[in-house]
Amino acid sequence: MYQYDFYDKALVDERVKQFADQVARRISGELTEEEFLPLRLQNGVYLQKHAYMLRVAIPYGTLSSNQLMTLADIADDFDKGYGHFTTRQNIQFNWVALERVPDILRRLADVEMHAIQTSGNCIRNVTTEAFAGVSADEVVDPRTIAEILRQWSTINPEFLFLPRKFKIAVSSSQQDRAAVRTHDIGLYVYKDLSTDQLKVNVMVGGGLGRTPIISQLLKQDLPWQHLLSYLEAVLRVYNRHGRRDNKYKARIKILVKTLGVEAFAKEVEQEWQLLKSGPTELTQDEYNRVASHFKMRSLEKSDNTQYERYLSENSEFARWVSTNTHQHKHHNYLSVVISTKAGPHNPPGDMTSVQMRHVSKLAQEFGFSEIRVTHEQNLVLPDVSKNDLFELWLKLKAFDLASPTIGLLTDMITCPGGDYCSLANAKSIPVAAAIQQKFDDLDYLHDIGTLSLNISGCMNACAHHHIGNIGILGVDKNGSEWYQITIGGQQGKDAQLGKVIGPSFGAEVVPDVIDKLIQVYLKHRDLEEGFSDTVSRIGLTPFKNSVYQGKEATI
Amino acid sequence: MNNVISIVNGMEAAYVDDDKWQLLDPVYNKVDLSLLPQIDMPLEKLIIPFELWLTAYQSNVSSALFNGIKALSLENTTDVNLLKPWLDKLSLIVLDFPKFTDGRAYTQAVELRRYLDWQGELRAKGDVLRDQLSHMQRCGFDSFAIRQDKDPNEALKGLSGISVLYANSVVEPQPLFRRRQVN
Repeated sequence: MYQYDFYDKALVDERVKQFADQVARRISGELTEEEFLPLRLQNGVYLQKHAYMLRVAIPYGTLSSNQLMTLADIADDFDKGYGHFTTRQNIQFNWVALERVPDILRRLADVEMHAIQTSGNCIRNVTTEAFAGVSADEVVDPRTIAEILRQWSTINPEFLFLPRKFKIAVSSSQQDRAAVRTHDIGLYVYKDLSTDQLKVNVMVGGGLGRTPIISQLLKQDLPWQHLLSYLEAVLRVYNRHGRRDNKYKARIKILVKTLGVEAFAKEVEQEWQLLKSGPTELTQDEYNRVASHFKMRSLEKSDNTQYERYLSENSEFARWVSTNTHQHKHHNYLSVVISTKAGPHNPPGDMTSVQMRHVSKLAQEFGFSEIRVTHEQNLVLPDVSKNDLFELWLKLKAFDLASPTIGLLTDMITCPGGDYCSLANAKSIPVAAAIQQKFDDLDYLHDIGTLSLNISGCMNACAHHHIGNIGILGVDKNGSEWYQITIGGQQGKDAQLGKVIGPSFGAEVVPDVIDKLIQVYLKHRDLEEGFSDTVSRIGLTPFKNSVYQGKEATI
Repeated sequence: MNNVISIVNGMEAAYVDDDKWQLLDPVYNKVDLSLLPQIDMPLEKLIIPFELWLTAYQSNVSSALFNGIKALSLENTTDVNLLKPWLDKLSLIVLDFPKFTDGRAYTQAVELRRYLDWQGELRAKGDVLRDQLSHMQRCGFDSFAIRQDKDPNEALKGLSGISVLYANSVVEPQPLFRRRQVN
């Protein structure tokens, strides 16, 4: 993991003091709410329905045991004993008091954490995939690039008041598990085999929200040394020309769409030529310095006979292994996914302080004290020996953390929705709970297989409903809550946006509608065919017919 | 201008109680600039809106006016490269923050300092507030016309900001990774 040095520490400590002063000036009335708003947002503080919410940064989703322990303490001391992991690999506390935020930030700073730029119209927390550094299909560890970008973007003075928020994601594996193509800037890092050099394909203009767009290629084969100067050029062009008259048209995706990607690329290129070989050109020394924090662990070979035996003798364990582990670079190890979606009683992404402490201890015991947060709102222990797996499973089960449903329908991504969020048009959590209630038969879930279901409570699409195989969007119709359903979306390098099946539904019928969609899929799928592939192949009509049965107009 | 803070020699910042510059009142926006010398304001103290200046210039300004210009202000949508022909006549450029949340002038400042090598005074006007001053300074501003209802001596505190910056800036052209000491 990245360890702070003198500079990192000084920055975070000074930021805490600065924000404490800003809070004090707000409370005394010296700062108006209008003046304070962007300041608090740049420190992750939102005003929600019931209270202030604090979003804490978990850079590229990496946590130490010690940090998770601190998050658990914060949940107890400043919130109601739980936290909510988000699709940007962060954690949110929903019940904090403004005047106590500086105290929380101080606790965070003590364990090398902060809430800087987790909101606001600035460059947000850089994300990557949860299996960074350990995944079998990885080309290079994306965390080095992600950390370099984190530093470059932190309080970068020119880019703190952009037209709108700006999100960057990095992927460097065969499979894109970082939703790169729905980010303002997405980076595909790869190794040029002829020169053995790292290069980057830069994607631009992706994003969901009310105008969902999949990103386009902006720059091919960019040598890694030029990454910062190139991004600076992109941001400068965006800051100069991005719209500010309408917040719904202010993201870079609208600018790229309006200019066309070629014209946009041309302007960036001109800008870049002015910067290209200047002081921001990255050095091998800096790359090595940062990369040294993310060294591969030296893992030992082991005999896995015992593990194989558990697998063959205990079908419940085997089922959990089949869904909740990910292939590791080292043959005797696996990455373990800890589900936050145990069932209707547990809002997706929520974890109690008791569970956090438990995971923290398990990470110490079995996983080199490291934890990752996935953008699907689960946690990961990246390096677990196969020989420890059975014991780990038992210990996870004891705390309701071993739901064997990773990647399945009930592993849904859900935003906090109308229960907490003042932007929401509709609630998300009760709908998620009703679906989990309906699909509580594990055999059936495993039979359906891999399927993503995403529920957002409004157009802002925090749960990425457009790229769910099934997407549910809460909408407001004359003051009541309705749900629009899309099908056929998918994430990854070939990301696709789902299509709306028709008029929206009341909350009470949503689980039945989902079941009808699943029935159509099961009836039509070819062997091993994913949900969205079936949708592409047979079209929307069979799904519509089943759901609406010709009564489309009346709903 | 009132309520101005200025940085001298790149270090010391202080409240300026006798700032000589005057913004050309918006009421003159419609005025033919060739009449400027007759207006009861000395040209060497006047900040002229660049967009107005450009129109006047294109319609043949007098040589007295052309030679006398010392300060221009820019809207935040104007391309700073258009200033090039006049830069060596000027001693002050003023950039605008119509709202403090509109960050376009940060980029204009960086361009002026870094690409056009502007060495003279660069001033921020408009919704200029304490909590953004250090960002402005790092982008190359060295004087700040603080919003009228705010106390400039309080605003001065905002210049200290945070001591560590990872990226390079106008003030420190080397990014931290080129200066970082092992510790």
